[in-house]
Amino acid sequence: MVLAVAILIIAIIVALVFIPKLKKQQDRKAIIVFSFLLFIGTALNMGIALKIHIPSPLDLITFIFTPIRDYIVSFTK
Amino acid sequence: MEKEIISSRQFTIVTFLYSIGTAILIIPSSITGAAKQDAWIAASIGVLLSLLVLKLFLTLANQTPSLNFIEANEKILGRFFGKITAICFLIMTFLSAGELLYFIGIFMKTEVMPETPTLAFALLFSILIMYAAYLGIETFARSAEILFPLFIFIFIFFVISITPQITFENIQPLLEATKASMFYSIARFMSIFSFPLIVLLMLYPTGVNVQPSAQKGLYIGAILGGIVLVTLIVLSILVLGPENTASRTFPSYALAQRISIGNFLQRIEIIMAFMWITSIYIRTFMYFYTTVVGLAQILKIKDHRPLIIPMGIIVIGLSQIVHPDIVHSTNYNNEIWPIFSFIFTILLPILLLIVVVIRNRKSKAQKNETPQQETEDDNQKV
Repeated sequence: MVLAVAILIIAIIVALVFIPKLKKQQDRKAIIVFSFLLFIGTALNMGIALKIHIPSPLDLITFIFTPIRDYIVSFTK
Repeated sequence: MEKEIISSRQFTIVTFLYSIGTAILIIPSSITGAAKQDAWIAASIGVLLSLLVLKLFLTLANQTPSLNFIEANEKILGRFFGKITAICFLIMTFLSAGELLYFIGIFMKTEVMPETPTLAFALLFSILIMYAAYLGIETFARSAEILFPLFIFIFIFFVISITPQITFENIQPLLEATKASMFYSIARFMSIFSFPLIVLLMLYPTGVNVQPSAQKGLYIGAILGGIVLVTLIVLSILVLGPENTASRTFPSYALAQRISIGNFLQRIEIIMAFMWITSIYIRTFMYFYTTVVGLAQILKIKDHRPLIIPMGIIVIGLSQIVHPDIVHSTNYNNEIWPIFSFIFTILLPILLLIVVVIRNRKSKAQKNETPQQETEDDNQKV
């Protein structure tokens, strides 16, 4: 719980430091991408800190490539 | 964003350390698992075949001399398909960056500091990576240049001090591996050693000052890296034995623990751990940098630096969820990663190369046709 709050505070500090800088440069696209990525990162890390089970992204890749792998394995036997 | 350029010598050093990368830690165990005592033959064949892979990468890079790999994707395949392939490529590099942070964490946790959570190592390491990415590729190349002599010195010291432990019975009988197991070990070796070298195409055509000598540097760096890896595999088999090597997660660390000179110089494995921490640093940086710069280029953002911190925060989280345990990681690296990386590092460049060749031919044919048409038109007018 403490860790999750700490992550949130760090994310807010990062946002407060960087977004005014980007605003000065008039780079709207960069602000949108920056906020989006920061949001994902904060959510992910808070989920980990609160010990919520998040499935590994590699499981999806394993799921996609397992048929190809099985085909190749059957080929070599 | 001002252009950053590194010298071809720095490029060679980066290639050398990058190709060693994580392979130095995990390759001996996964490759001896399949080919037993003939793993070193598989690794040598893998290094030789890697030269063909490098030839492919260089041919592709020379087709688009002013663009890096992500830009070349968009240029060659068009805006829409180019973006899709580039995003898939970046997903691969980003997942690998998270995976490498996981590796450094799990290595420190299992072997060095068992009571510290992996998050601590991932956090410290990723701060280093983020700082390096913020300072840019020139500073990074200089840091690689500083680390290189230390790496070589420690490696030579390592090889010399482990030689008294060699028992030659471990490597006999020779050439016993079946064709299928040989194929698997070569595929595993190349998928970790040479397929990811495509990430260096982010540096090669545009970020290098002398391109012909950088080309040579790519070959030299990869061959030297291959020699280091083959040496390590041979030593693991000779000292630990094939079964012992295959059953360990980090055989090269176990190898360093065996060093004992006159019962006096012992337990120096943590100094040896400098080698893999260096090479993993170089590799993680390249993956992370490619992802950040590539993302900025796809989204047409002028400066990639603001994206570093959010991406770094995501990559720390990713390192914690990417593998729930070491079995998951071994399965993924042995079974899925070779196919996954083959598609995006070999088939994608081949596709790009074919499209480029066809396009060049078409444009040449058009150039040849247009003057003829004009003359025909002239004739008609006349």
